[in-house]
Amino acid sequence: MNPALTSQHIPSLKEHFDWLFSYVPFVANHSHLFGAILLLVVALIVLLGVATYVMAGVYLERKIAAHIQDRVGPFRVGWHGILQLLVDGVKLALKEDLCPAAADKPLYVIALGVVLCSAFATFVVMPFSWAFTVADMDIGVLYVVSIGTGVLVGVVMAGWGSNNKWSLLGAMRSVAVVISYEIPIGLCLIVVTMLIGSLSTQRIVLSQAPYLMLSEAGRWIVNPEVSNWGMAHWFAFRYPPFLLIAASCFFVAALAESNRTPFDLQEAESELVAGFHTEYSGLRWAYFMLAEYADMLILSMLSTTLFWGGWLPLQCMNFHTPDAFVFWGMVLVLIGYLAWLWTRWYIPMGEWMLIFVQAAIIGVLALLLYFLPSVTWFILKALAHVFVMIWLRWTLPRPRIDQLMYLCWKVLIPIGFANFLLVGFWHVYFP
Amino acid sequence: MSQSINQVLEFSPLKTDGMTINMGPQHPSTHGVLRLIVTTDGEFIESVEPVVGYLHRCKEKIGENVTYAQFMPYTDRLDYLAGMNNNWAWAMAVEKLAGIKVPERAEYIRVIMGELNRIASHLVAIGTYGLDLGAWSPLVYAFNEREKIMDLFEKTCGARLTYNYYRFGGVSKDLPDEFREECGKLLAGFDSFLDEIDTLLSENYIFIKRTANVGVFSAKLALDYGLTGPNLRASGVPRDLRRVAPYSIYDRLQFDVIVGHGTKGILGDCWDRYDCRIKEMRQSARIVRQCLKDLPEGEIKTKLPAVFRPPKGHVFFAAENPKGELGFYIVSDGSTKPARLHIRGPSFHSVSILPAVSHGVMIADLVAILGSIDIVLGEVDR
Repeated sequence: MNPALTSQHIPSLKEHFDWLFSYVPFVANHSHLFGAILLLVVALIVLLGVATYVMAGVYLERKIAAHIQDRVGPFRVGWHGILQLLVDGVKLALKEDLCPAAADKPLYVIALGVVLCSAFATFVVMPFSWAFTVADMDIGVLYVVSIGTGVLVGVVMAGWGSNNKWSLLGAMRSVAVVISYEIPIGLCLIVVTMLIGSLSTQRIVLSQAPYLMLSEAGRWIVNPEVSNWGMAHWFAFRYPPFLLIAASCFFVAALAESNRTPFDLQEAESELVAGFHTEYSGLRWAYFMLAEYADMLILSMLSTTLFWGGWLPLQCMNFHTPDAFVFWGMVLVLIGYLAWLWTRWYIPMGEWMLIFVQAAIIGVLALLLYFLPSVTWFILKALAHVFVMIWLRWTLPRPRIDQLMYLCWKVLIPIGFANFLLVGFWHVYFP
Repeated sequence: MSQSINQVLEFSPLKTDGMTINMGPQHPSTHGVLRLIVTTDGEFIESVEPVVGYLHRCKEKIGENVTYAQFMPYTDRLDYLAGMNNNWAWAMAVEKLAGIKVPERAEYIRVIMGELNRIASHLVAIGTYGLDLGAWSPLVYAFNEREKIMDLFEKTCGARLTYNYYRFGGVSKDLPDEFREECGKLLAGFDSFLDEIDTLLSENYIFIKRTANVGVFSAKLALDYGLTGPNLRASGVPRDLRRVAPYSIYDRLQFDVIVGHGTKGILGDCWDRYDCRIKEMRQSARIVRQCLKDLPEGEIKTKLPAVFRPPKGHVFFAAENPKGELGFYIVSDGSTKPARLHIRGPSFHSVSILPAVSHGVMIADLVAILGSIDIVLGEVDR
């Protein structure tokens, strides 16, 4: 824990920008105008980035599912089917836009907007890197949770507006599940916010890096005095095992919250056809999928921020301390072993050549690991969460609605609450 | 569990009007064009009324208008997942009517094909059952194994689904040369495949929670509704025609009749029916191994006259199919065509039990029960 961080001023994106352009008089004189443009540009980058991710996410899901199931997945369009999603997008866009005759048209149409807006609005506070946050609000985490719940409103509107009994059942389940699972999510969040006394996402990330300090110029730099283990300071590993339990509970609750198998009862295809979006087709259906994948990413990012070090790298930041030496030794051995396996499996070549190739792979990977920008770390960690979600989806059957409720009210909430109390006692009495 | 909730609902002042939902004929988990008129109270089901007939193709009437041999391909389309077994039942019914003897080698080939098809049918049953409960991957693994069996069938008779392989007094073609080796390879890996399915489904915590104690058929209920096959045996009734009324060479083969024991819950629940199929596949593999070992050389077909006219009379014959007992009742007037024909399809009887066990369960349970009785609509409607 770095107590200084909780009180220090964290420079915002705007301040970084001002600092960067303070020597360009025209920009500096119209700081407000350029600040607004900057915000718009950043928001656009996030929006487009997430939209692109969703396409990549669908591709990933299909490929991972295929490999889990002994298939190859999309393979025809582009290299390893990489353009499949574009083609699918075109197909969906060309489909007839159907609206059932008996549907409540305004509700049916607006529902989609509500779902999409609330899903995308939450990306505003995500700390992509030390400088790259659209807005670092003081209420960051609370904002994500409350705006994210807006998706539920859209789902209920879609379920009711479609005038389809299966959709209505899906929406009913959605209300029950999402409202219940807000509680364990909240209980897991509150542990972290209690420890650092802030809801700001940037502060949560920075609290997991006691080796960082603010330079004169307002940049985050590594304090060479502080010996550290990098990831040992992430919240998931603090107060062991309590925060790891909190992280696990959060992940399970996030699965239910984002409608993912094994908890995808809202759209369980074998029971409710397609749940609340049964009556949606073409592009409207595609937007629902977009929102679902965005939802999955939001909760992954939130989990990354809270428990897994946000944009902080896996390793410690300086080479000069002995623990860094041990850490890098372990990383090199691991990478070397993987490279050895890989080259043995896929590339037939002579022994000497093999050694050179391995050395090259080790070198490049190690360099990459060290020089990866923080935004990459953040996205990689979120994608690791997404991968686990996909993995679970293609492995497990789904429980019944009453069993899901049992898990929430009788397992996750008591655990979350006990966890919260125990961490609180530990924090206060054995700081 | 569901019973107690139902009691609470009955005495609760909050009880509201029921909602009638059409489940099917287009619904992902009705396994074909079955329609269920479901009355629900929230998530709980008050009544279920199956409506059948969407796939009715007048099979029995067709049977009276074609010759005995011409009806053989039509039987493929009854339970289209077990074409071999349907062929076999029809062939044996006609053979019983006309008193035709089948050569030894043909009997062995018939058992091999029938048991392989039983495995293929059960593989689809457990694969789609996983799908009904939300687990996708076991389906693909099951179809992987089934594919190998289909390949064997294709090499033997040229078809992959509707075989038309059996003939009165034998089978149409002999086994190909490589059959013994490839079938042996398939059987060698089959037990480890079933072990894998056990880890993915049978012993999976969520799977057990979804299937144990759900949709319990007591032995009496199952018998009252005329259930046969794994659905009946899972309720603890050891009735297997291959054992109680042995036909073909089953009296010479070693196999166990699998019955349910209520391992994970009450006897006769969905888990028992599922497990019955898994264990039956192991027994079928055991039977095929024995047949491959003892397969004699010789004729594969008895010579019959060009125009086949069975004697006057009537006959009923039932065979143990993957879904249950498939029976043919034939009335012959001595001509080339049956005078009357009736088919007893096991799936038709299985689906009739739904209303009796669906009161008070949840919608998700109805899907679990429907999946566990493993119906094929081609056989329900005929």
